[in-house]
Amino acid sequence: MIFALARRLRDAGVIGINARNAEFLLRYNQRRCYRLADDKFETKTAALRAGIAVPDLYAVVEFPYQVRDLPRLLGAYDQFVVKPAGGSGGDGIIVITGRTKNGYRLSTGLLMSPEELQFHVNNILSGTYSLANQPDKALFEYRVRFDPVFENVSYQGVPDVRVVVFLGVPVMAMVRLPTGASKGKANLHQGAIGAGIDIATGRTLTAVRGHDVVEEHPDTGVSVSGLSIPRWDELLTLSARSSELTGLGYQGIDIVLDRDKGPLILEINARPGLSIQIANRCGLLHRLRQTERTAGELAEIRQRVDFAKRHFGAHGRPDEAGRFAPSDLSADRYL
Amino acid sequence: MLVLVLAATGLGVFLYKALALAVPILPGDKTSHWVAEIRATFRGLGDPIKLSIHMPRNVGHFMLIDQQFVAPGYGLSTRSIQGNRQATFSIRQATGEQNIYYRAVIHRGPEVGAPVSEDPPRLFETRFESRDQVAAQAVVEQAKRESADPETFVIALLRALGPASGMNAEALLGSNPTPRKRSRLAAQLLALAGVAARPVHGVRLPVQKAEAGLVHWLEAHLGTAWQPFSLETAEPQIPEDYMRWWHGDNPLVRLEGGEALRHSLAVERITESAVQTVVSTGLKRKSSLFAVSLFGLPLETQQVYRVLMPVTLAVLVIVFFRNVVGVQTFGTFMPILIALAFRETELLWGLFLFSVIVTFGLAARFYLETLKLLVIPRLGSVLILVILLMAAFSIVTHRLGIERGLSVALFPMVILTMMIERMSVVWDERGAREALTQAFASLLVAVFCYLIMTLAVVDHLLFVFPELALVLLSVTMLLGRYSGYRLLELRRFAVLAGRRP
Repeated sequence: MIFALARRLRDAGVIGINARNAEFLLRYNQRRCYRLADDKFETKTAALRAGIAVPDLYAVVEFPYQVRDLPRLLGAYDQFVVKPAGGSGGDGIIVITGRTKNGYRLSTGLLMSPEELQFHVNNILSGTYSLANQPDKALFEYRVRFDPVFENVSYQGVPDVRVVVFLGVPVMAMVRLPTGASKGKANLHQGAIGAGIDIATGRTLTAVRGHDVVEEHPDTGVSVSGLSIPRWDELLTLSARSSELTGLGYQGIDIVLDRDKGPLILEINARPGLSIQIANRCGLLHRLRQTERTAGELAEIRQRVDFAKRHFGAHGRPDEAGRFAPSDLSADRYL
Repeated sequence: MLVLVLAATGLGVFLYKALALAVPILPGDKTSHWVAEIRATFRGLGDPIKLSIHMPRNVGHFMLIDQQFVAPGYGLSTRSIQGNRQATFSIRQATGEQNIYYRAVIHRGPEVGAPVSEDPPRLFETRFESRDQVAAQAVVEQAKRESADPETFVIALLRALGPASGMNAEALLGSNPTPRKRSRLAAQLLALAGVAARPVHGVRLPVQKAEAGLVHWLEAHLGTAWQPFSLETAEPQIPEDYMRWWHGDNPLVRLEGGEALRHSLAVERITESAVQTVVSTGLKRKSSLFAVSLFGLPLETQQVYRVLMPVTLAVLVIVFFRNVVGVQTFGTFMPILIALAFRETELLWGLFLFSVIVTFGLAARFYLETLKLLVIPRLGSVLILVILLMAAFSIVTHRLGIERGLSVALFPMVILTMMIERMSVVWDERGAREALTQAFASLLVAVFCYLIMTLAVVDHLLFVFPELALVLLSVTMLLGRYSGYRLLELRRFAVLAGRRP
């Protein structure tokens, strides 16, 4: 039974962590390139240098003595986001949405005193959230005001779009919507909703939360499928472009849609998770192999985006089981 | 390729040791060997004393593993005389009852070597009374007539001296023919006919419970080598459980200078772990494979590797659990350390201790959180608290009379501290469920590692055949190229296979 299941998954092109690591990460991602993705500060400076849109960086705190300067450094900003440069999985990120008389207001509605903020920053510096507890930097950056399209389908937090980019081609995408259960974080394993996106059109497909298929946002009750992501082409182009930034062959690019500034790169992930397959109800392998075969011919960013839209869209209606048949796979292969 | 080489090397050495050197594969195997002890008791008269004892040598499939001499105050020298090994104990002056012991530990191996010594042929000393001379000649002539070559001649002669011996032989043997007398006479008669022969004395080392004692037979030099002949059957062959001790006319123990010599030869069969035997014989043989084996190490260091070698298998288990099953644990190899601690505390008790410490540590960690300490001092504080907790636990259980509580001290506290820290971060960021799941998974894997590491077979195999670790290494490397699904991923992605989760 287990083997039958494994075979059906393989036929559907679903890849597991071992396959991702052995066949894609180890093969296409060089070790020296990881640093650029793992350290958000490096990503950001590289992006700024290349003219790629990222949220503005207000301040960087690298050493504990700078923590006392925080009030001065942040004096000009009412809203900002604090994040560890080396954090993973959204851990350690705090969103400040405003100031009160003697502290900050968090996106969750709670209040935080300046001392608590300093403590948090100190924790970041000493590596609480970084891989292997390495000393870390704390970044203070522009708080994204997300596009109204997500107004009714996210709870607190910032929804973002995750695009898996392979050899410069956007292969698969999903939008991650924070929920009450995920405490405003856009991370699937923390309870956020993941909704697959039709690469061709930028419309959301079905959505999953945990292992379950969901139709509506659990906190707002609004349907999460069929949403149109605004400025989709721009977003695809941005993701295709930014893949050149790190030199990584296989990466996950997290993009937020700002109300005013459009798509902004939030972070680049050198080891993107595989839940995107569940959100899209489609395995990655076939798309990756197809890209592998043709990537050599796709020099221009335009070409790569067009290639993705042509091959990785989900034309047509969902079938009776609520699934969409991707255009590039024959129906029998996609069970 | 490398994997193949590693696996082949490991398996090859393993098979060689298991098959050619007969190193037992299973821990339960026991082999027998014998302790033969000669005890000589005599009275000293205040004069210089010299006591000679014949010693055996490696012969046939018998091998001397160990020899001990117990003779307080005596000087000891050993020498070889005409193929016999002799130990001589000497003292300038001894009075009263003296006891001297010689003890040989003998192992019976599978291989059959030369059953006799290689020394050159020598005619046995012959001096017959004139009356006996005629009888002796008659017996020899009779045997000569009934034989074709030296071998059949020896056989015919031994027959003539056997139970159905004729008049002449009976006259030569006397009224009370002991096997010893018969072997001596046979050697003398053969010398008369120009055949080099000698009486041989040995001990019977029975596999089954049977009487052990001195036995006698004959060795004749048939042109190329010494050949043993049984006195009972007259065949050119002696029973397998006969071990040659010495040859010639001299007694086993000879005393000069004392009086009232009594000596006894006792043979005792003892059983010990087969590994010990193979190893001690191997070391004796200076086999290079044993020279590099773990058995060459001092006993204490051996104990360390008895613990360490099974860890290699535990590593493979962890790799399997993480990469093939997909279990998340705190710290990659933390479960091994926990499992090692379990070895000392025993399983249930270890689980209990572990849970208690982690629970208290976690509580302390959550309290420290409210104090807003920096990371390193906070970690340090948790570590100190963990140690204090362990101490408190030991004291309490000791007071209650539960000595097992003391074993808590064997837990790797730094690892525990890191685990508490990581667990609390996961608890904060991912929720209690995730934290508890991972903690439970870590424990589960640790228990599994513990069960595997404590299997007697595993312990034995990896310690006796350390080369198997190469095989484990090759399997681990193979798993490094496993790109299939992890077991838990199947459930995660089940929805994609067209099944409702």
